[in-house]
Amino acid sequence: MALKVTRQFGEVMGSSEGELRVTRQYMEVLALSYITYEESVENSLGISDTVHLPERHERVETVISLNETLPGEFREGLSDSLSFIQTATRVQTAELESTIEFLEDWTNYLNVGEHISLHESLTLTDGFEFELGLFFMLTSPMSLSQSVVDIGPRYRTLWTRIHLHDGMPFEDKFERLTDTFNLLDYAGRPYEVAASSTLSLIQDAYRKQTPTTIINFVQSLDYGKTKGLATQELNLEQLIDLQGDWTRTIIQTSGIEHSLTYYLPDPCDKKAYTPFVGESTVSSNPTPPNNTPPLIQGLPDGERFLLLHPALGEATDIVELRAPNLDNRERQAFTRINRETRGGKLSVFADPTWPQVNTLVLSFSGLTKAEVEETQEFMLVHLGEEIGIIDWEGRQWAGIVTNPNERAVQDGKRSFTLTFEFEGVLVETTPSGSHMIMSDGFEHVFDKARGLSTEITWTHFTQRWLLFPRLLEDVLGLTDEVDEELVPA
Amino acid sequence: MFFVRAPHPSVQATVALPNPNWGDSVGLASTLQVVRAMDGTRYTFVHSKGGRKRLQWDFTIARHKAMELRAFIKAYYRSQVQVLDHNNDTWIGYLINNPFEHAGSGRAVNFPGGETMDITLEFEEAD
Repeated sequence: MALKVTRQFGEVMGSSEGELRVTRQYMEVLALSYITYEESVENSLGISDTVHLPERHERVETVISLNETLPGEFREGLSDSLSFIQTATRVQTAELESTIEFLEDWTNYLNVGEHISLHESLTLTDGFEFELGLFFMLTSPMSLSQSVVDIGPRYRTLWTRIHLHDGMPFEDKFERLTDTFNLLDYAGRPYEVAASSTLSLIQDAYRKQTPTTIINFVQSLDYGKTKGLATQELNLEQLIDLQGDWTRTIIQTSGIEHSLTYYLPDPCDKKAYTPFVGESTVSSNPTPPNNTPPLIQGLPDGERFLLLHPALGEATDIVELRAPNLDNRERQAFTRINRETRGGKLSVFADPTWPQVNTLVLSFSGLTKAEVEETQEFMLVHLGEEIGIIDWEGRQWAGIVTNPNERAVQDGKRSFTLTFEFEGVLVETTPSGSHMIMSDGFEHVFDKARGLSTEITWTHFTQRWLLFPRLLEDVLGLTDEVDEELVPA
Repeated sequence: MFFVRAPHPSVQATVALPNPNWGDSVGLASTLQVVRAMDGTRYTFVHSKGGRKRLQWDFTIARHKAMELRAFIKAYYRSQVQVLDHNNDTWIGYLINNPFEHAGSGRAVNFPGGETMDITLEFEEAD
């Protein structure tokens, strides 16, 4: 940069004679207020591009080869990362192509404990952004993501292809040309590992478009000779190891319940034990009475009415009396609540767990004085204790005598009448002593209708038949109404 | 014939009984209390009970039928019952005996159980 001197001053010192000596000098120059330094650091990589001008279709090609050699047996990593970014704008016809070839060659052997990982990661991303042209096509030679951003309605095609090309030059003879696409999953450990190969063809269509899935098996023979006919086979094999049986039940509860009773006229229906108990699905209904009468087998010969202690089990104190008089009474007393509403409706409620008291009122006539004394001695010894009774029908009761102070009345010269009340429960089992009835029963339930098998049958090619023989049951509770005709007596 | 069915309204069990003995009765459940003032004026306090009726039937039945009725009472003593009486009248209400008393009344060789029993059923309408 050149400087321009605009003013200059000089101070001199000296005597009147001789030489002058310059002691101070000022210079004013004119210069710019800033300074520019132009620096450039550049690394150039020579790439030769060749453009063939006479040709109408232009092509730009970039070839980069990276060769790396790892001569030793070391744990080293070699990584090549290469990105190609190509942009083509405002052209009528363009062809973008990226070709990358990775060649890894490991020729050395491995020792124990050494490992080499070969990993190739390839990402190809092609993108178009254009405003002209009617249609275009994006093609990636490997499977990859493609995207299109455009403006306005266009014909668009997205195509992802995996090419398996096998080629042989023409020769006189050749054996086979095969294209193989294998999806192999290995689960080599005894764990729950799912191995599956999935080929999914999914198409989503919008508006008036029809999705189609086409699998084409095309075999063509342009020239040459063939043996036999070309065959196309699609094998679908499924294997199911069924190691369990499943019983399936389908129940639909509709909340509708029904009950049913009936009456069958019979000459003995007014005196025999013949309750007509129908069916009921009403959950709030009480348990109906048994269809069979209680066991009344009568006393064995030589036995009469017995008072026992203890009440259950083998008795150690026994008093035997004659059968009671015919005016014996049995009272059933229940604990119930009777209420009347303001409208005059009667409501009765009782919990089945509330006490229910059975009372037997028994009178014995024709007793001897010894029998009366023996009975009163029995009541005294076991006063307030639970005793047992085996009545004149052979039924066993367990309870207490509630009026031990009842007096025995002498109504004959050698005859006494004794009355007492017994409060207890009927023992609904076989009474103790020699009245045991033994029976053996065997019941075997086998459901023959339970067929459990799962079969899946596939026919070849296009038709498939599925067979699932399973038992299904639908239960629908319906209201049943029975109009019964009662025959008056 | 005389039928008792229970539980009302979803009846499930039916007991058939012979006709009751003479002396069955039917009457109102209503009550009346009469109060007389010092001047002789009479005041009445009534409890109509909705016009409900009380009925009573006496039966003499075989021993086995009495056991059936005993089991029926034990099952449905807290449920409403339907009664179709010997006059073909239908009643809906409760058996209100407490206690129910079964009394042996005599021998009956040809009857199931060999005996007959007397039982009284007291019944009151629910509505």
